[in-house]
Amino acid sequence: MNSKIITYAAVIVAIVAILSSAFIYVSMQNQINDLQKPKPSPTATPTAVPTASPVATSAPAQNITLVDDEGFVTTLTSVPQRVVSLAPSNTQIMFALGEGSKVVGLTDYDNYPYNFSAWIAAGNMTSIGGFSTPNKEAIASLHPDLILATPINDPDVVTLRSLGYNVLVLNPNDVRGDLQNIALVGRAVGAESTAADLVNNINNKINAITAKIAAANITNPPKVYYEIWGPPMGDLMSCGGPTWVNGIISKAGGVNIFANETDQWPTVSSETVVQMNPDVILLPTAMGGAPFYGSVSDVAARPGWSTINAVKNNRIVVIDGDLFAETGPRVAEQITAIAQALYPSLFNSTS
Amino acid sequence: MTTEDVERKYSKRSSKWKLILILLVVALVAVAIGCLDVGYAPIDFPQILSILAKHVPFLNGAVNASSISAVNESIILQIRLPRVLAGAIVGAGLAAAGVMYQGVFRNPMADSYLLGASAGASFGYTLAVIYASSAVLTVIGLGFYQVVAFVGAVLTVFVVYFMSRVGNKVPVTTLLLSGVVVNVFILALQTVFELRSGKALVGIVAWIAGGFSNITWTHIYSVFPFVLVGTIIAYFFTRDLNMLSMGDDTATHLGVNTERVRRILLVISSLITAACVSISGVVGFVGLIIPHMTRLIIGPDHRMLLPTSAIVGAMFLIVCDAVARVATGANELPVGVITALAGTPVFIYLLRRRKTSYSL
Amino acid sequence: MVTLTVDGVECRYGSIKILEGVSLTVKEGDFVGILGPNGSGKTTLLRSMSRTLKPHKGVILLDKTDIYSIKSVELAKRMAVVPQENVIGFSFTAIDVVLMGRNPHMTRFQMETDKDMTIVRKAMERTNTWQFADRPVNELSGGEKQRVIIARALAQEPKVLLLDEPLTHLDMINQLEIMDLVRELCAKEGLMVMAVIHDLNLAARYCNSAILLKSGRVWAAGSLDQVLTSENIKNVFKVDAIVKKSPITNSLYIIPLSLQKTAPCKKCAIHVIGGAGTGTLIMKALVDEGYTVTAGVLNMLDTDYETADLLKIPAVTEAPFSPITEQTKKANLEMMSKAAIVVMTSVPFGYGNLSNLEAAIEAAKQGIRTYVVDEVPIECRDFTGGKAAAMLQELRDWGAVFVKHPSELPTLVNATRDKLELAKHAKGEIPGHTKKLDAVQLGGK
Repeated sequence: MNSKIITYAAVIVAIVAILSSAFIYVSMQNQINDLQKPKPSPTATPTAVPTASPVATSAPAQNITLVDDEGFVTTLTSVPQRVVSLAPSNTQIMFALGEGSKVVGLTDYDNYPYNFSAWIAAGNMTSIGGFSTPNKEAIASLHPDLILATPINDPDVVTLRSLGYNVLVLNPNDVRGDLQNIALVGRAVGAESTAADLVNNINNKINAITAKIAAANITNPPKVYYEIWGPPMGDLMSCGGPTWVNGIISKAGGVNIFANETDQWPTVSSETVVQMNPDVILLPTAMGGAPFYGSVSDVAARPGWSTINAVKNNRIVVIDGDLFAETGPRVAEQITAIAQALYPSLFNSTS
Repeated sequence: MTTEDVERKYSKRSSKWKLILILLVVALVAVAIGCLDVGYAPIDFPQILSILAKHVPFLNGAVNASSISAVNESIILQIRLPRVLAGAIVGAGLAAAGVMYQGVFRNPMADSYLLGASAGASFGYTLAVIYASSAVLTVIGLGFYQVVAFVGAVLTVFVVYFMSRVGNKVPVTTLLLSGVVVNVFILALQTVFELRSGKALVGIVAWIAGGFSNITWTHIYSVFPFVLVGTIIAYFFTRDLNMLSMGDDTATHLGVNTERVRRILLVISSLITAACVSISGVVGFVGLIIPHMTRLIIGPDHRMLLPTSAIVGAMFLIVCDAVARVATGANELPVGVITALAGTPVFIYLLRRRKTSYSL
Repeated sequence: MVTLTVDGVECRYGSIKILEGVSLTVKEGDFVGILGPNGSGKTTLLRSMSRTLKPHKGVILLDKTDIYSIKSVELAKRMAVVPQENVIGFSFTAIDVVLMGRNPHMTRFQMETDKDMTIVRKAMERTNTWQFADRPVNELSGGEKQRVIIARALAQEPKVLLLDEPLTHLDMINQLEIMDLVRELCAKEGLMVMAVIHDLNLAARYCNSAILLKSGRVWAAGSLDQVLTSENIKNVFKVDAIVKKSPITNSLYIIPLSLQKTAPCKKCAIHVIGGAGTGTLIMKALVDEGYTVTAGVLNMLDTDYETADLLKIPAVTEAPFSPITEQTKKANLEMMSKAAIVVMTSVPFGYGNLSNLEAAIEAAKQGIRTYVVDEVPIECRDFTGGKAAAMLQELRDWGAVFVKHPSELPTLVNATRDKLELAKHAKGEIPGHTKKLDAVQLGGK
């Protein structure tokens, strides 16, 4: 009987090995081939966009080589005129750079800096689907020459690249990465100088905030609990160490109580929060919807929470969930919002 | 019924069967081409036909190449056609595998996910996404995910099978129970890893829910041989399946080597399922209900049931995928939702149409 | 010459032995009936021979080859099995089911040929199932389904056919037809059949040998005469039965007797005076009631004599067609004196058996309780010119109780017996005095 199992195992492993190596080889070859295919040239006229003429671009003659956050190298032979964004953060970067007129397609979730749903309904903008399911046909119909994606779209990215499109995947882990993304997109669409200015602007704002906090000589930075999800909708969920929000909180002079968690979105128990005793509780509103937690007094009334500093000192702060949903060019605003919540005396709403 | 009538009816039956099969194949081709017309981009049907004709050797000359836009051609040939073909292949594969599993287990509740193929594929995919993302995307290529899902499926079925061996035999009920247990176990592990996956969670869940939104020609080339070869080999065992359905003892007395036949059929159907799941995610309903639907119309003879279920499954999934990709504007629905919503009423109708009670 | 040898087979379910030390040899043309009570291992024996249940010990050889070393396809070409339970939930047509019987002879890549169809058709015609060839099998009655399964077995063209209670759902004509068919196949085509049959009469009629199992062991094996004897039936089935040979069918037939209701009462002996068949029912009824019965005087070849012989009733006998001698009469009286009750039937009287009447009067004089069954009026059965009638009257004077019908007997006899028992206890003696007893006192009539 033993020899039979071994025979079976060997046969199956052999078949799988042969097939998988053949397959991997073929798919690698395909990718290389597809990348060398000529890109589809934009032929039809672009869809009507609102006013704002395109920003003057640099000379399109030379090739632009770009490396995205996944290490993939893309070479553009001309300055892109038709850009599709697969994530709101990327849309915001384009518009912050003043290149919004080049955006021909975006997701159903885009709502900043304009009410894009109304544009889509009016036929002035095209939706290419949701966050994780971008519609390839819709994208192809727009014949973009640049697509801006995030890691959520990884499977679609490979498909799109195999169809011959230029795709940049942006995945900022921290503020510096985010600013690098802004610079990268600027370089891609021929708006390097605008991008550089924008980056400087943001850096200055952030530095101003951090300097002010440093000058205040705070010995005990406030402990912050950022609630992503919780009752009555579900279990308590916060953000862990390797998240964007964690970075923002540190920059704003706070300490995320779950900064040591290696999971990105750990589910935590109520007593852990009580035991950690945060000084400030941040409750982001849902995107356009009613807050999941009910109201601030509901949160304060949670069993056992009356002993938490944040509850005792009435420092439960509601922040704009939309603002924090994305990385992107509004990072300075995000840091400001949290700094105001953590140090109201230092940063009243006017500063 | 005189003896001549019986003889005539019986000999007519095989020609009747051949006719049904030919009609079904023609219907399948028609449905496939028809569904090429369904999609986000508004491409008119004559242009679709021209695009197709352009690539068929002897129709080439009749086509006016300049009237076809490159974008449309790209959409049809690179996006829609692979999807339709994948729908056909996966639909046929899952339905055929379902027929085999139901015959081997003599259980109407069986589908080819029973022994853990779907759980293993999902779990393999999850692990690959969490731990190998960057390496995969830059160096190996997305095909890696497909291979890992395939391997995960095959390994799981392997483990379940060998867990259930008693001496030289594998009793059917033990196999069933082992499958259930392993499915639950892997699901638990899956949940743990999903909760740890952070941003990748959406992608993982979307993949598992099943869909054809990222099908490329490579996927077609890699999966088609499994389904085609597997179904053809299985066809030669359909007489054995007929006898197996009478009971193990009866089958043995009629000369069927039940252990061997079961083993071969399980291997074939599990490989087919693993291949299908590795490109489409876990599409439910097809493997379970399509065989029943076909059985209600065609009867229990596996020599007819296997090929017709495959063809019906192919048509069904092509149509469901077509609906899934246009149901909500640019946004796509998971195809498993459509299969369940569409298939259930049809099945209920067929069930109620029979005057006698349903027996397998 | 095809042979099937079972040697020292022991089968177990878990640790419980179902069959032990079973050995037998069957050859071509044998139609073996496997008989035995429920739980004796008949089905288990068949299952071990059909390779469904592997014997714990022992071997089973088909043509000198161990059946477990033959590939199942090969075995299926030579051996067909019709199991007891046949649940076919699928709606295959009857002809499809029978066609499955051709499977061992077809290779994997072959479709059914004309030859296969011919064989199937012949098998179905012989089992009377061809007329519903294209009806779904789960719409057929139990008997029709059974015949289809038998047809499938025949379509296998086996050399050995194992049948497990193949007649259970069949009506009489189908039972006879199937058994006829099988016997014909054994005789003409050398088919070897082993059939588990519950109906001993059918087995006796059609099988040409039998094996009787008791508690997992072979109790008897061999020809039907050897196996189906009263003793064997009594030992194995715990039922008293009469085994006779029917001159019409030339086969044995078994008549089981009613079960004994009470244990025989040793003190209560009843002597029956009868003859010409009048005493048969009475003797049987009394034996059933548990009495020790004796009889006399009976002429040999008399019907009642045969009954007494069969029921093992001690009887005083006389040579056939001869008048009762003094000697015989004395023996009769002696036997009667040992009895507590005498019963006289409505036997016709001639000069030959008048001495029985005399003996009865003697008994009555001795005080032995006497009953006379007066079903047929004495005038109709008196062939002695009135002498018998007169003697009967004398019997009446001596206190004999006359009953109109034999069915009244056992009750009365019981009543008498109870009274006798009571009297015995009261007086401490065996009742029997010469005084004429008052009919009313005895509660008779």
